[in-house]
Amino acid sequence: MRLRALFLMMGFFLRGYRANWLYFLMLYLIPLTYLVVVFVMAQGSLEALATGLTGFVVMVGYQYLLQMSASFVSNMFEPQVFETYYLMPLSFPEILASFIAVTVLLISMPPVALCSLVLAWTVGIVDVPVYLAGIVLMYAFFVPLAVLLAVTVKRAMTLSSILSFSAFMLIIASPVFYRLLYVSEPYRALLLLNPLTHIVVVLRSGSGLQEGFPAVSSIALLTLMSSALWVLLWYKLRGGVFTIIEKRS
Amino acid sequence: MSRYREVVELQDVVIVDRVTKVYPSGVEANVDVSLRVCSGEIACVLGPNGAGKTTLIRQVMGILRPTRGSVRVFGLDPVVHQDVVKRRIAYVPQLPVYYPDETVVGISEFFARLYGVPLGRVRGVLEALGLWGIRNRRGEGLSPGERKLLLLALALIKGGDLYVLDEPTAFMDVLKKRASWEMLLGERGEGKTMIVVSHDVEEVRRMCDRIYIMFGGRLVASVGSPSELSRGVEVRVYHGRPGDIADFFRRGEVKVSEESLVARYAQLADAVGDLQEFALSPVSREARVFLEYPSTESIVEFLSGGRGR
Repeated sequence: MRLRALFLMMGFFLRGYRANWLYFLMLYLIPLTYLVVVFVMAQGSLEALATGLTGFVVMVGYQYLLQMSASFVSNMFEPQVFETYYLMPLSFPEILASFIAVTVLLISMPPVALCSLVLAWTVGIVDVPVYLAGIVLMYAFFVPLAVLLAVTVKRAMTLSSILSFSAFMLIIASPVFYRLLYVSEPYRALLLLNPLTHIVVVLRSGSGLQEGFPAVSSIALLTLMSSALWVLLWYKLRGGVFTIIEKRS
Repeated sequence: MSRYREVVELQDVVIVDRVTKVYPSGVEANVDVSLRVCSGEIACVLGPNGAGKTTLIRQVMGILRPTRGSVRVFGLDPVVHQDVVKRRIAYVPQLPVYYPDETVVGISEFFARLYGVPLGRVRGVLEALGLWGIRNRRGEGLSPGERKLLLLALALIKGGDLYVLDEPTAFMDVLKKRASWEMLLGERGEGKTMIVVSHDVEEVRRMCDRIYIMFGGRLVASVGSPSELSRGVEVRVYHGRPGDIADFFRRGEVKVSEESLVARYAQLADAVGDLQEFALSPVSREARVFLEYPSTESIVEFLSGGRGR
């Protein structure tokens, strides 16, 4: 995609927030509020702080990368919305790339970067390459999953309901708010089936918290799952996927 | 022979071949529709609301997949080769969709930058369509007619080998319609091909070379030139109780038989007007409509009291 077109499209999406600037501001304020809560609850414990902050990064990934990206992309398939994009001289994959660039660079990156800085400043990131691998794999996992779900389901409301319900299930069933290390064995095995658990394991390992499961194994699993998702997405996007929701308007 | 075929195929910009579109709800929006649009031609699809015109157009653009049959645009399947087709189509959607927070000039310049078109063209198009005076007005402050005009402006700024215009002058007043027609006829002068969907017989008369008339998802007639809109025409409607629907065809001379109704009109335009009203009625769903120029045999049949068939 031409970079100039990408930047023009990103500017176009952001201009759409001018009238709803408060909503855009809230995208940053809500994570900040959570950071304050983590500090208060930690009561000076570095372990609690590292647990809360790494869990928070995964939450941001789920909400902003998966839920928001999927919502943006699936909304595109509403016939009248789709037609406004048909007027543009960009291909639909290029328009999709612009959506993703906005959610990745402008919406999810700032809170993730802020949280990582706070983590480095307070607890310290003992293994920077592992921590960065965790961040990269989180993006590499959530982005193709979001697009794949959006182009398959297409209906924004349906997808939003599915992802909200899944959030409830996946976040409870992953050690986002607690330590995997202290979980008893049968439940621990169950948690390890959840991809979010592996992101948490890698991030915590980078910040010096070992969860009793090798970070290298989690990195390998996440790499495998992300690669599979990208391959599936590539197959899905090969022609014919960019058709509108079939309903008589 | 092969060279001759190649020339002929290049001239066919759009080929719709026996296309049927059934929505998941079971609604048959298009039934066995076939049409061709040649290079440099302005083809018009005329018909009442719910005739299946927009569904047909969306299949031509490759944003809906036909249930049966095939569509080729520039020789390509528009669903599979959507990007190639999209680059060459300038499109005006049916509804006056708009960008609420963008000004008229802002969105036009944004599109021009995306297309790599000189910004001078933006001013030229906006002035020609009478939008320059409201260039700083935001999308949410535009009337439906102005929004539609802006969509036309965006299509003209983009340009393309094929213009697909779904009711391009809907919601517009007479002056805006004229400005739009002039701009579009200017594009036609440059050899551009167009498909125009319309309800407006006057628009069709002024712009189109070939007219396809749709009703109930089917193509009921194809007219070679707009002058034929003034020719006499015959509408034949097959219905369970033809006597019950006679009132819809009051502009024509109606004869009713056991299974069908035949209405003769001095002008095709009158027939289209009656069909538009008929289409709004639920009973139209049970009817099958045929529109044809009366042959000598049918005149004899008509005069003999509508028996037969």
